[in-house]
Amino acid sequence: MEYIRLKGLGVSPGIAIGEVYLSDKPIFSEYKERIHPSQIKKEIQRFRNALKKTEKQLIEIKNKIKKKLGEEYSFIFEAHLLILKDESLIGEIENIIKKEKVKTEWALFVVNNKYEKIFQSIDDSYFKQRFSDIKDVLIRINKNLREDGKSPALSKGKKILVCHELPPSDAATVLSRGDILGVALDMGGQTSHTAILARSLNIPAVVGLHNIVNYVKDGDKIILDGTTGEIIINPPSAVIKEFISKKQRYDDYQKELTKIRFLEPVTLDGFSFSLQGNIELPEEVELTLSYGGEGIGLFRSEYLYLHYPDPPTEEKHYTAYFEVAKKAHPYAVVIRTVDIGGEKEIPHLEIEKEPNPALGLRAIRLFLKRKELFKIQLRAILRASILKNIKILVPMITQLEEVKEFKNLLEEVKSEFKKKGKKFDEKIPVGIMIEVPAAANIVDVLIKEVDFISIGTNDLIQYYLAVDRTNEFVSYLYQPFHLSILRVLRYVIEVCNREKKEVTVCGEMAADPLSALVLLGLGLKNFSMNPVFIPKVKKALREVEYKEIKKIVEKALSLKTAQEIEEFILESILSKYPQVFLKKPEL
Amino acid sequence: MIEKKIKIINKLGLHARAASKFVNLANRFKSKVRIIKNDDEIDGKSILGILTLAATQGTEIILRVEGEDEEKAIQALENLINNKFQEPE
Repeated sequence: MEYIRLKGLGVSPGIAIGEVYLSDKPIFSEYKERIHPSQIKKEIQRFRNALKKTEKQLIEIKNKIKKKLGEEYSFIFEAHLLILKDESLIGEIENIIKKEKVKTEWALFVVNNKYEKIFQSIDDSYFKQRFSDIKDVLIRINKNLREDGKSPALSKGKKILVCHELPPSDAATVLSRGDILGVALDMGGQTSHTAILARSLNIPAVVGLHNIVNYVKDGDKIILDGTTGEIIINPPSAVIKEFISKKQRYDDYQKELTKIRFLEPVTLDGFSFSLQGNIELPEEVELTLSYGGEGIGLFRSEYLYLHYPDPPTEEKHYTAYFEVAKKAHPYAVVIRTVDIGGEKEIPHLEIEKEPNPALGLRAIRLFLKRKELFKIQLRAILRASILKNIKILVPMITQLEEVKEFKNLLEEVKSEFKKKGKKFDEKIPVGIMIEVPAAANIVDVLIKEVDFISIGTNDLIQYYLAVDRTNEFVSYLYQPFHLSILRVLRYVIEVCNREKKEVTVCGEMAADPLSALVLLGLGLKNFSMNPVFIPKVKKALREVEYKEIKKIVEKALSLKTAQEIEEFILESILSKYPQVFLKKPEL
Repeated sequence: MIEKKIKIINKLGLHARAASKFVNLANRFKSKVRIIKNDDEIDGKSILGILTLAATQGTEIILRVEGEDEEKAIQALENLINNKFQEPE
């Protein structure tokens, strides 16, 4: 049997070994897989074999239906057979294969799209719908390109779900069924709904595989590694063995993490800290709590705006916010007001693409410009606040005026509520994000106006160092341990502690054990991060004495370069606390 | 080459079933069969082509047949259309 390795994007860690369950919604591959010119002949033959197989199937079906229901019903397969033999269609597909040097799957996709367009432009609704017949035939051919076009009856038991695309509505029902060992998708990215759901349900998942549906059939044995993004189809037994022991190591590591969950969040010398989750879907609350998180330090509300064609209604906002609040209760939930801008065009919000979105009309700037639109969000937050565990966080503050303007707007909505006699948390805390260097510099002024501060280190570092870390030419300059960053963090944390206002770091620095230790040394108590990192960070913080770390970090601040600082801190901590970092399994 | 202007008179027009009959019949002849509707010209032996014409009842088409058996072919095809594809209406 052939043994194939594919590489996608691992979006939910863990290893799954099992049989393929190919979701029976055959959709065309949207991946243009090229072939060598010498392969064209073979590819055409492959296409023609699929045609033959399809013809045989259609004749069988036609005769069966004719016997059972009469010619009236079997006729449509007659039309399908004619479509299958239509020379202009076949010629077109073969031409694409030859000229573009591509796999048949891509040619079918192109032709399908072409006819979809042609038929869509027809006014008559009967003729318009005939596209479905053409699509049916093309799908059948597509299926038959695989070695075995038949799908064997599903045996019972847990399976690895393989499909082209999993729409959000399906993802929730399918993944929570309990019989899915892992998920492999052609489409999707790190932040797709399926990826997030799989992570929160602890189901290993690999996405972005382009055309795995064309490589497997039901019942194939596959290995899926959600950590590395690797898929192995029909692996030899030696490889299976290797992955079984890998899986064992990973599961042991998971157990270790789970143990940590029940331990107190306190340092060796009695300094209490709190770890919370950064999430964007209500479904992730359980995950956060299961990892020992104490509430939601950052609920991103952008999802509601970006994944639907229309602006979300108040009801939609409310449902999401209340669900999060209810699930997290009695812990607190910090809802960040919309943080979007011109990195992409969003027609329903009338947002245009900007040449320099990081410095443009985004987050609170956009919010204040479109007050009526975003008041909907405030109303929904207030409605959801009846459990008194919601806090409002405003992103991208640059100046005091913005804070005041936002608070005025909130007051307007509040008095609207009072007039109507609607219930809400009258003392709902309002906080701001410190991301813009200017805001960090005047945090002593801003803090008088707010109840809490959240430091978004990712953006703060980007703006402070003027470095886009996704730009490979300058990403080396992105250094969280740059002296300037440590100094500004020290200043912001000190001001908050002095004013007795809560301060949280919700950037990636909070999720990295070494950086988290540095933040602890700067006096930080609250850390919010992707839930999966909570156990690691908790372990590190529990293994040390706050006073010692404080001393080490203070000393480090007298050094000059980021490298010197990092080396000094790492060496000092490791020599005193060799067990501080949880060892990752060797994967 | 023979050309003839013909009106589609059956109720449903050149729908899938009628188109199937047309193609099956056209395929029995060696001649090339083209159908022209307004500015569109398609291969009369291609069911896809016929369906994309979306020729409803009352549409006028031009049949253009060319080949050794063109006379027989155009006669047969014209009969099919004028007999409303033998559909009960």
